[in-house]
Amino acid sequence: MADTGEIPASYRKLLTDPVTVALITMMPDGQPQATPVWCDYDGTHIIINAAIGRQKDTNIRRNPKVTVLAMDPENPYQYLEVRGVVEEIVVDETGDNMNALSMQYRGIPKRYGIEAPPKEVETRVYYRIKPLRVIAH
Amino acid sequence: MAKIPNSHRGLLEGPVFVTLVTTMPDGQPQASPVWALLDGDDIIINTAVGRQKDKNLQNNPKTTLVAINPDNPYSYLEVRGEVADRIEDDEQTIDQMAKLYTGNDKYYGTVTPEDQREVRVTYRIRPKKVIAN
Repeated sequence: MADTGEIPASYRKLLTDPVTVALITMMPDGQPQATPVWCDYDGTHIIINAAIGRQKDTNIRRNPKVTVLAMDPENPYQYLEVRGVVEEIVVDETGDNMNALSMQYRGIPKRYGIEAPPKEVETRVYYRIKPLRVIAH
Repeated sequence: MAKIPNSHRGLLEGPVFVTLVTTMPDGQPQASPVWALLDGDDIIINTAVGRQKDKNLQNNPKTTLVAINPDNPYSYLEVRGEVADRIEDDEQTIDQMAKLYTGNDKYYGTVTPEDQREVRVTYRIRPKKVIAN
């Protein structure tokens, strides 16, 4: 089936509101690995932030095929599944990406040293995920 | 077989919508929200015969579930497991789930209209690795 990877306008809020979504990566043995994460959407890519060396980070570097599932917290019968590929891994050197997510989810403009350990403790990256197939239900 | 810790069993005993992950033939993860029940340490889910998840699980029994606490998203349970059984034509399980998740005794005729009746299939998923946070 042809799919443009377009996320319907009415579903974008599931990626830009403070909705905790599930990020799925693949373990080396082919077992899916799923964790709750914060995310954002920039109009073309889903943005997800993680620390270097975590299981999801290791998995993505080996296999960039990932899937994101966002359920509407008000109505879980409504959901968005995005099957995509990580096109870019960007080091969040300034912490701007993490701070923007902190604002989006917690209403707190700074994260490091406040709700998370100081920035020096771990190196954060963010993934730019290109949607390949979108199921809006 | 891995155990589900008592602290997190509630996330699989309903009425929490759980994310079920299967694998597409091309290796891409496929995820959808499902109802779940717990039987011992096995997780029970139900779908309709022929759905993408049903096809994928028959093709590749490795499956993962993640349940996020709706009241505290920092608390969650990830279960990596395998299909231990597939039971076709099982409407009793979906009725049991409908009762738990919606309060209705029967799934068809309430949650889904009678004229959309499909053959239901139940999967029993056995945990191999459990991550409780």
